[in-house]
Amino acid sequence: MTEPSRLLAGRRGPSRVEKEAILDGVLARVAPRPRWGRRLAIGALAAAGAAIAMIVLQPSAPRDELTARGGALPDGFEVSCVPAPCSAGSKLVFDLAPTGDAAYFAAYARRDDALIWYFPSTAKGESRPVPRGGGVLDTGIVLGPEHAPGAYVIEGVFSSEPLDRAAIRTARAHGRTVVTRQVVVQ
Amino acid sequence: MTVFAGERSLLDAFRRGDRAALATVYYHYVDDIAAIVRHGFSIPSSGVRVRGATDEATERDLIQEVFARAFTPRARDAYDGIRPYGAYLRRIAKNLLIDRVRTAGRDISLEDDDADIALEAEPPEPAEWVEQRRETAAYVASLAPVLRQLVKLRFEDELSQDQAAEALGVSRRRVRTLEARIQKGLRKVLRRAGLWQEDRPAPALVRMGTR
Repeated sequence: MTEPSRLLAGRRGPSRVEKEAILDGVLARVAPRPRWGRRLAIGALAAAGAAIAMIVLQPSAPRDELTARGGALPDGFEVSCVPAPCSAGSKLVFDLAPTGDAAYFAAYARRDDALIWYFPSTAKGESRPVPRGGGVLDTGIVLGPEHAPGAYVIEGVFSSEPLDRAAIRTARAHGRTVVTRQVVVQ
Repeated sequence: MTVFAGERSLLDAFRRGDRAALATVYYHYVDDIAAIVRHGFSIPSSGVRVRGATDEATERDLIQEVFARAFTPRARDAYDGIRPYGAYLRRIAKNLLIDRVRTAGRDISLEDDDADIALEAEPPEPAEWVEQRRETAAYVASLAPVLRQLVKLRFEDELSQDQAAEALGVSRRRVRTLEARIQKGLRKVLRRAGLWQEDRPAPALVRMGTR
């Protein structure tokens, strides 16, 4: 499937949009923005929110919201096989640890050139709601014949809105952080 | 010539991990690396041919991996600013592709790792691409003038969002919104024309605690 930005560029190589997303991914790995700056900004926002809340006498509104949006740590997840080790018939279990305002989770496996979608589970489906406060997702994946033995990279995408597959691809191409884990199927 | 030639300040900033310097180096070499990753290469001394990525997602992953490896603090520190940097990046790309081949069970001798490579030629345009491009051209022609201009600036001329925003006299945020709208519209057109393929079926889902 051709990336729309390549069609618009009229070139079969990566478009500018894709190159920007790739660079974002590289920088996130080798030169992340300093966290103290973000925390400082979060602190300033929280302080401003608290001040506003005091002035307008709405003590319950802003603080949690602002704190949650800060997302000082990246969202994450762990994946494991039950029973271990991973093999045909095992169930992949996803343990989610969202830290920001992530409310939905999408995941798929990649191996060489193949892509196996987990969530959304259908072409027209959407990503799954994240359990409140994180934790094990209520749906697992049974490893079937589509999972030939070998190593798979599982990519997880957290979002604040439910996303379908096309939206996930676009978000990924536009530099949305993707959390990766590896699973070896025996 | 390496991007650092006569650019001491760029080299210093690059070694410090300055994001703007890393971006400068990245954009200088990314097309070369993308070409290797896309088309693969051959090793003339042994006749070995290594094919490139067969899908765009893998292509993007490999390009990212090349630069992520080259841009680690250790690799940046180790670079002297004199040796050809493009050759260094090409070697990483080459080794990544060779690793993929080996993972797939094909054997490539160790001597080939250091051999010179020849880039494989761009394959002819597949029929699907030609059809998709035809639909895309018709779609772009149907857009409002400002959107057509944005297609030219951002996609054909490869301007950054900031540059495109300045050229159009709008905000960067507006460029981002319009850009997303254009791509979404194109996907819709392609889907309607039967040129947007859906993915292979997913494996079985199971409700936790039910099996």
